[in-house]
Parts: sequence; structure tokens; C-alpha cells
Amino acid sequence: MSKIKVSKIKVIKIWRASSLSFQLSSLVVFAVFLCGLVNPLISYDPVLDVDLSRRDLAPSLSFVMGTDGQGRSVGLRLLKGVEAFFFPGLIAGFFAALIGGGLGAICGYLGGWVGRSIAAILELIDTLPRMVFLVLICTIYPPSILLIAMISCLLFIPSIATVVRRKVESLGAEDYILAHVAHGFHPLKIISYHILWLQCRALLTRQLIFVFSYVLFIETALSYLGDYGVQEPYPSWGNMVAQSRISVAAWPWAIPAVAIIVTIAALLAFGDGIARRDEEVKR
Amino acid sequence: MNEPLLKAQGLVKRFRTPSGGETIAIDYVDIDLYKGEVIALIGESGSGKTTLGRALLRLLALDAGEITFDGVDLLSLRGSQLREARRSFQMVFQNQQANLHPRLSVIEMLNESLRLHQPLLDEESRIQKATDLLDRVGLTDHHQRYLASLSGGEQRRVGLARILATTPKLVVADEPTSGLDAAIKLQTIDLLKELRGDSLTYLLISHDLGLVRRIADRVLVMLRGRIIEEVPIEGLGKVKHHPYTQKLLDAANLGSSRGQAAEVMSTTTASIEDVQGRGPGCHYCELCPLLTNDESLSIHCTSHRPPLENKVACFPLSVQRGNTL
Repeated sequence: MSKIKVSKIKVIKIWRASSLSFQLSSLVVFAVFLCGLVNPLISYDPVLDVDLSRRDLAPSLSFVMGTDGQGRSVGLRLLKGVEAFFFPGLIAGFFAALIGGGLGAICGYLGGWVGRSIAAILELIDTLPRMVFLVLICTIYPPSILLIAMISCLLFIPSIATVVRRKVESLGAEDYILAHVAHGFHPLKIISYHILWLQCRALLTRQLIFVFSYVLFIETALSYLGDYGVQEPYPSWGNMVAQSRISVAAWPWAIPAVAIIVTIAALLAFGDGIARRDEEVKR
Repeated sequence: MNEPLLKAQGLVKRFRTPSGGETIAIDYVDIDLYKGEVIALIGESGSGKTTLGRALLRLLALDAGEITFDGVDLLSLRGSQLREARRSFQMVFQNQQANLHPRLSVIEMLNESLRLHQPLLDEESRIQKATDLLDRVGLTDHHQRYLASLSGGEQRRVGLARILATTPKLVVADEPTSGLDAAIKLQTIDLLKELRGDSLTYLLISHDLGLVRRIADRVLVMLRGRIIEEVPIEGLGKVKHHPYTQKLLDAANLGSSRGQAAEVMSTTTASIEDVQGRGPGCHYCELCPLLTNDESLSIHCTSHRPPLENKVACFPLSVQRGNTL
């Protein structure tokens, strides 16, 4: 009981001490997460929703965000469109951070020519232009959001590994890490707990959120470029913009476009804020 | 005396310099540490004291030599055996910030140490034990503090509390009082003495002759990677010392006049530059006051390495004592 109380007070304290941008962005991120989590509970049939008699309706009480060129509710599609990137993005971010962090730690710990050669290979992969590579993959294989997420995950592993490797290398030269060795801690414990968990978790969280926002971004871009993303009639924010860009009304493309911009900006600001909070010197 | 607790022979450690050369940080050093003894290792900065201390605890890889600790060949230990052995030798780091992980509070860190070294305790008794340890080092109200909000002396005491969480037989204390004010210094010395009990062996690495006089039993003097003199504490300043030791003692005693002190200081610091890249002979012969007149002796001193004969590695001294070269 007392523990819960303490954490409540802590949350309020942190909230008050935060900058306005962090507060706003965390609200947006919270809303997106809520949408993502309740999404599986909402049943939506994109075909049944078509009703040509109510095309291009302006936002009103019955359709809060209006309807698109096929009479579908923009609001409902926007909500359902979160599903397209939410879980794939989370999974991609999680595995990119996990594998990237692990590889980076291994390279940094091994050092020598083994570590250097793994690091070199990773850096080589990191030079691939991500967008071009994704378009290429999507033209070869039938495009799906899961494929996009998987490839994004793979493409981000090297850069995450490089950042973590540098961090592990620089921390390895610190006296307090040597002191942990001298004290008799297991090297695995030092790497995984004292270095990765205590010193790199902020960095890894930021990278996870970055990959998550990248999946949203790339899905949008690929949808717009040529139907590589989520396929009609299923909604994603990207194909909503792409489908209605020739529409007479503004809201069918403007609303998802604004949602994309706001969400990505909020995710990046949120990631930064979290990382900065965690990197502060503890007193 | 009985078997030494730690016996090291022929230790060599070379470092690569950025320019591609090599420096010898430890140059064929033999050292014996007996149980319950406090051995002080003194010498100027860069003489290899810290490197030697770390090498003895297997914190860096040696190029040659062997170390026996408590009857066990230390250099052959691997993995879990080595970690097991680390319980019985601990180090106080010169950098006091090394005593605490910057993201762990004092109590969390002690809890970690106890979890590692006394795995049979449950969480509650660990916290209790950690509290006791903090009381012992005088940090009763500092449980939730982090590294950044502790003073240098407090950081050191956290380090001592952490060492107390293990059951060490040997503690290498690297400059345990540097950067502390006089009062805290005294507290730390008392704490070190108290921890010593009757069975703990200390290797005390220090510039601080005051501290050395206070707690050491035996003094080793190091110059450019070699141990050049070994003297029991009663003899310090009374017997005929190696000229370099004499210079160190003079520098510490400064006392008399400022001018003299400055002169002593300038020659001691100059010696660091001058002896670099020297040949096999005595590392001090170019500055040695005993060598001013005797031509043949000076040739001998520059070309031969003086053995630690009668506890002093100096040819002119042994000649004065009546030994022949």
C-alpha cells in the first residue's frame, strides 16, 4: 500500500518537473498506446462501412472526423489504423533494442579483432540506405506490415549495436567497473546489469521508440509511394492519406496526415524526454 | 617468519606507448606479503606502484612472473575459481569515485555485494547487515544517497563498507587518504586500523609518509618499476638509505627552509624525465649524489642492475659497507 502511494507521489513529482514538450508528447503517446491496446476489442468491417450515399461528409456529430470518398468514417478508420503499426512497431523496436544491445555488448566486451570484425560488418550493414532497401524488399516479396517491421528491425540493429558497443567500451575503461571486477562480480552480471541495464537502458528505450516511430513513418511513405504498405480496404494512416489525396474534401487526408506528424513528433520528443530523465545524475 | 600470504616473483608488465614504443611499468619485481602485516609501497608518481598493486590482485595481465596467494597459484585461476578467490583480496581504489556505481544508491550497492558474497542471507538480513556496515563506517544517514551527493571521504568509506561485506585476507589500498582533509584523513586511518583487526594484511600504496609512519610495519620504495629498498618502519629515516629514498624522505620532511624544499622537489621531479629510456643500470645513477667522484663506480652503476642486497639496491652503498663489487 505504502509503496503504491510513494510511486503515485513520484509520478506527480516527475510530471511537475517535466518540460511542457515532454508533458504534451507523453499525452499523445499515451493516447496512441491506449488506441493500440483497445484496438483488438473494436470490430470493424471496412467493406460494410462503405456507403456511397454519405461521401465526403464534413465533420459532424455523427461523424466526428467526417467521411471519405467512399463514405467511410474517417474517425473510425483513424482509430483502426493504429493497429497497422502499433504491434509491428513495438515488436520491431523491442527486438531491435534487444538484439542490437546484446550484439553491441558482446562486441564491446570481446574487443580485439573478433569484436572489431563484428563491429565492422555491422557498420557495413548500417551504410545501406534504409528506405531504398525497404522498397526493394517490398517489390520482391508481397508487401505486408509485418515484413516492413521485420526489415526495419534488422536495419536498425547495426546502428543500435554500434552505439551500445561504444558505450560498453568507454565504460569498460572506468575505474568503477574495474572495481566491480575486483570485487568478484561475474562478467556477465557486470555487462548485463551494471552496464546494459543501469547505464544503457535510457539509450535503448530511446532507440526502441525511434524504431517504433520509424515503422509508422516507413509504412506511410511506402503506402504513398506505391501501395507497398497495408492494403485497401484495411486502413492504415499511410494508405488513408494515399487513397484520399485526390479527394475533394480536405479532412480525409488532412486528419491522418496531421495524426502521423503529431504522433511521430510526439514519439521522438517522448523518447528524448525519457532518456534525458534517466541520464540525469542521480543524487 | 612463516610462509608469506602472498609471494610474487619476477613480475614484469610492459605497456605500449602511443608512439609505438614500450615502457616497462614493472621491471622484475619480487614481493612477499606476510600475514597481518602492513606494507607500505612508496615512490613518486609514475613509478609503477598502482600497476604493481593491480597486478598483484590480477586486475591486469602480466607479461611474466608468478604469484602465489595463500598457497594457490593465482595466475592459473580461471573464471569462477578466480571470482571465488577475489573474496579474500580486495582493493581500495585511488579514484574514490570507483567505490560506487553512479546509478546505485549506497544501500542498493551494499545489498548487491552481500547478495554476491553471502548468498545464504535473505533480503531482510541483507538490509540489516548493510545497515550495520554503514553504521560501522559512520554513514548511518546515507542509505539512499548516490555517488554524486557523497563527499570524497564518504565515497571512500562506502568503499570500505563494501570491502567489509567480503572477508578479505589482503587489502590493497591505493592512496586511501589522498584528497582528504586532515580530520577525515585521521578518521579514515583509524577506520583502516580498525578493519585491520589482527589477521588482515595491507598493502598500502601511498605518497603520504605521515600515513605510512602511522600504520605501516615495513616500507618498500619503488623507482621506475623496480623496488629499490625495503626497510622496516623503525629504520625509516635512521639507517643509511638508498640516495633516492633519502631524497623522498627529505622532500617529505621539507621542514627547515622553503628554498631547500623547492630544490629537493625540483630534483625529484626532474628524475622522472631523465631516467626514461635508460639502460640496464641503476635508474637513479644520473642524479645520484654518491657517484660524483668515483669514475669506475659510475660506469658500473650505469651498466649493471643493482640487486636488492641488504635490502638496498645500491652499489655505492654496498661498497661503503665493505662489500666488493
